[in-house]
Amino acid sequence: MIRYIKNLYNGFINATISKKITAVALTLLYIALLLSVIVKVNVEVITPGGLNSTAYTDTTENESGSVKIMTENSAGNIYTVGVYSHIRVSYFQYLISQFSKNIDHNDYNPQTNLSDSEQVTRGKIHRNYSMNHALIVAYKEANKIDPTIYLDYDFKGLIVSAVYHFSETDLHPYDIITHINGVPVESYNHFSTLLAAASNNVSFPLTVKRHNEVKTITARKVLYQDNYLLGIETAEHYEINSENSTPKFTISEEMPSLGSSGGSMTTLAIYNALLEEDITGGKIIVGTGTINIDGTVGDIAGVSQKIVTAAMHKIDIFFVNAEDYEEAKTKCEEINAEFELIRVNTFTDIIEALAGDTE
Amino acid sequence: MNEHKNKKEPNFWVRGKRETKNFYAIQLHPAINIKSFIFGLLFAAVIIVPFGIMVFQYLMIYAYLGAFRIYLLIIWLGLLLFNGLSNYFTVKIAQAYDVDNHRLQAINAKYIFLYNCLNIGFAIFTLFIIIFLGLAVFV
Repeated sequence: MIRYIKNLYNGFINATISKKITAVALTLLYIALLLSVIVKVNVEVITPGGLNSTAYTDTTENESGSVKIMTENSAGNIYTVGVYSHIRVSYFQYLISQFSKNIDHNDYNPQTNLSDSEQVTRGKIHRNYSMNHALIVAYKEANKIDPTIYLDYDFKGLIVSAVYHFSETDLHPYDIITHINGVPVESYNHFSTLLAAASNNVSFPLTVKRHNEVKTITARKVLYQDNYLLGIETAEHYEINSENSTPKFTISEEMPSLGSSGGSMTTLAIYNALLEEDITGGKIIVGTGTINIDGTVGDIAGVSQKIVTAAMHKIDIFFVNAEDYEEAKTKCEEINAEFELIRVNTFTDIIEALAGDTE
Repeated sequence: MNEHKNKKEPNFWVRGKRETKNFYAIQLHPAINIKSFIFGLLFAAVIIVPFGIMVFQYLMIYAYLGAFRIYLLIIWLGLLLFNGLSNYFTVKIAQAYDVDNHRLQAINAKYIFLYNCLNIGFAIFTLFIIIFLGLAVFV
């Protein structure tokens, strides 16, 4: 190989000036291309994604979805919509992503933002608690119509979904916080109130359940961007017992997406599967927005990309939470989306919108 | 003389086939044979890999648009180019190591490159691999 490289070098030395220029130009181009695919930039690129199935029942032909409800009702054609997030892309990817109006960019700071694997863990935890919230809200709402529908669930504490880099608390994702300063945590809001009362920069005990073991750890609020924070992200954690519920359900082990943004649509699909009447009227329904335990539909990220994704499929209705409605509407107008965009604040709004639509 | 003038030069395909056949007919020293084969692959990989990474990275960003068959076609063409380049470098490296072998020195590697880029056997083989493995991954 060394001999061949020497031959190449000699060939280059003895070549005409035009050949030398071409060789140098091609080499520089090659190096530039190589660097462009290797060098990373601190940017997060969000692109449109795909539609994901939600709930299915005993009568669903194609048994795909995140949860199976053991009824003979129709779950309807209800889908969540996902986007792809690429953290620290190459310079080449950053450049090509600039060519599309349907792709968004966010700054990414490796010192403060979650890493790729931490985001995946966070996404899995969000997806899991979102499923629990969806089941609780759907069963609760369906119970108003059919009192035999019942879900056995119990609040267990707050699940930690992310620990930020500035945090000085020894918490890990999947930890379940049960007590703060010895006081049992009753809800997310209750925890926030107790945390606000804790002194800044002073350590206090947190009782957590980690791998089924109860531990007491010390926590401390630290100054970060003018605020004293614990530096963690949590959500209410409920334990749900399918065996004691009517009808029973099974959650798929391999759920297709990450995150909680499909909460409202999963709730709708479960609700529809629980009741005999198909409230979707055979329409293809897509939507986005988290579901809170009180039935409110929360905001999400990447709504423009979700609208583009939905527009690539033949859908009839797109539900969006109130906070992201304007952005969604602007994108719909930009791409001439042909579906109906409906703004919702709560899960009840979704049911009412469909009732109005199908009547 | 006229006869020589009227004699038509064989096209690159025929010439490439002939040159490839000639190259494989030459008994090279085993060490040169192995070195030229391995470094031929390595050189071809050094040239092709950045473009392969570019296709992959493009696919990551624009996967939502679908068009996976086009990506598979690009990958297939890339493999054909890789085959051509690796054969080209194998000959060139062998020529650099065995300078006294006149039969080897007489081989024109450019024709070997063109012929192997369009090698029907390799093209069909890689096409089948791409269809069976590629479609299973993408579709």
